[in-house]
Amino acid sequence: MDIEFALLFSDCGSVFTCGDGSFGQLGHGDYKSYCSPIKLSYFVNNHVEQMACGMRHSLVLLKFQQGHSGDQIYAFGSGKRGQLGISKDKVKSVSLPEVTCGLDGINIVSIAANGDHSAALSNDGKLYTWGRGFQGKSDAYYPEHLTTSFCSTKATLGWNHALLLTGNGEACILGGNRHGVLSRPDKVSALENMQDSNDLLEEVPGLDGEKVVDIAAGSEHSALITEKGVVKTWGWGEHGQLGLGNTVDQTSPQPVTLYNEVPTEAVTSKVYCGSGFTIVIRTKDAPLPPRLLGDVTVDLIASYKIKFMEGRLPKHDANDEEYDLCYRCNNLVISWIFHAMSTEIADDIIGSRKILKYSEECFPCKGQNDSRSSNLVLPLFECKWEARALRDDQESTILGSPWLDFLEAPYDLIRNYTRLLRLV
Amino acid sequence: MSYDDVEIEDMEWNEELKAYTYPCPCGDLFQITKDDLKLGEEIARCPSCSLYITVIYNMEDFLVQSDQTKKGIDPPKQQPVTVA
Repeated sequence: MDIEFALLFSDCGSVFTCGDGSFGQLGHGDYKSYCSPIKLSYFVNNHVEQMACGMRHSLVLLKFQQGHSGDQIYAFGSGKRGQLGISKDKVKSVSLPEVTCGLDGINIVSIAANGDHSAALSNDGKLYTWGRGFQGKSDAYYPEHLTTSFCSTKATLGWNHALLLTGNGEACILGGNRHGVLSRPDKVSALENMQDSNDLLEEVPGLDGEKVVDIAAGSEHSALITEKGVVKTWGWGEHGQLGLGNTVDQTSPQPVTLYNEVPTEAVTSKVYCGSGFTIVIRTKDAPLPPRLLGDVTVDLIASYKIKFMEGRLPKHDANDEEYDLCYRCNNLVISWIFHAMSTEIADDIIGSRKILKYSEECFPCKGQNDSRSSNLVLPLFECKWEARALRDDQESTILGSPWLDFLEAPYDLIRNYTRLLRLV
Repeated sequence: MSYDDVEIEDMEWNEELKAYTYPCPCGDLFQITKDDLKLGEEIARCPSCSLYITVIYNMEDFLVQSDQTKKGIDPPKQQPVTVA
């Protein structure tokens, strides 16, 4: 969920990185920045299971392979706060992947990174964290096991907090003393003084036993989805990232009213948070075809962001005033999706795998032998045209990045976006 | 209250903004100019939100360069950065 660089990975487990590389966080052995995805040659013979980006570092998870003792996490980029976990001494930065220590023999199911934090979750629900200490505690240079009775099924990180989801559908927050009080300095210090430093992990307040099915941590805000499908947000709200129609901070989860309430049908919701924005994706629980494009709704919650974009992108020729705004919003959204967030999100929004699978069924002539299929970008580019050809009920619209046009949820998305924009 | 304390060596010089920068959790950048640093200013602000950080640095490191800097030029105003 980083803001300045991105990791992408293809269906066959290759890793591509691009963006700001000044701390070695792209892993190419240099400190250069790249504006288009470059294959990470270090992992050329490995199938990469997962990746995560922090502010200035990256993590890569390799699952058990012959010749290795177990799962391995590789780290590269800035290591000043211990976030690489590769040495007990301070490491300024490394530009090639190195193995994170202290996780030998542990079956890792997921990894997370954000800010200067790193985390890994084992298959028996144990959380390991390293990097910057939470709530003023000292930095950890090696993974530390968080002692708790909870068995975690998901862990996400912010810049100063971690959110955990337990097997029982409970949500817990680690280092949440500043969560939701960022713009009220008096309250921060009061809370900090009160805080018992031995008890950093707390249950998320105000849920009254309601079960949680998904969680997401932004830089300084959080979101969750309850069993009933309600999206709730809390934390820092200055940029409208809580989607509550105001810019007020919240110390406990508040229900968000989504614009396009999906009627009655079964819907799967997912929520993602970034630096000052939130995205909710709702998918109708139905097979993808024939309405390839109509079954995903994206709600972007980030009112304030548009100010950055005003007049900063080339204007479209269309005379329509709204179109201009749409153009910019769409670029913004797509850019965020690809530059600010993880591939998990990209996968969900674009449904790249689903679309690839679908296109394979529809266009079996695209053989596996095509060497380009190892690159995510090219198949996507081809899919764009295929998806567009499939979509016969709407006029083609070309917005945003050329290889993402096939998304074609843009109008829905933009409508939601501009509407939410006006809330604040 | 300061969002964070950041050492100057952890900040990045941004030629376009003519300022030292550090990522802000809103997606923009905390910024402080060399002129600010010479004056002993230790607060780097984000032009897009209310947050600010405290910059930890040695003022003398910046005073040395002062002779080379032309006087009478207004420091550039902080600009929001396109964060996409």
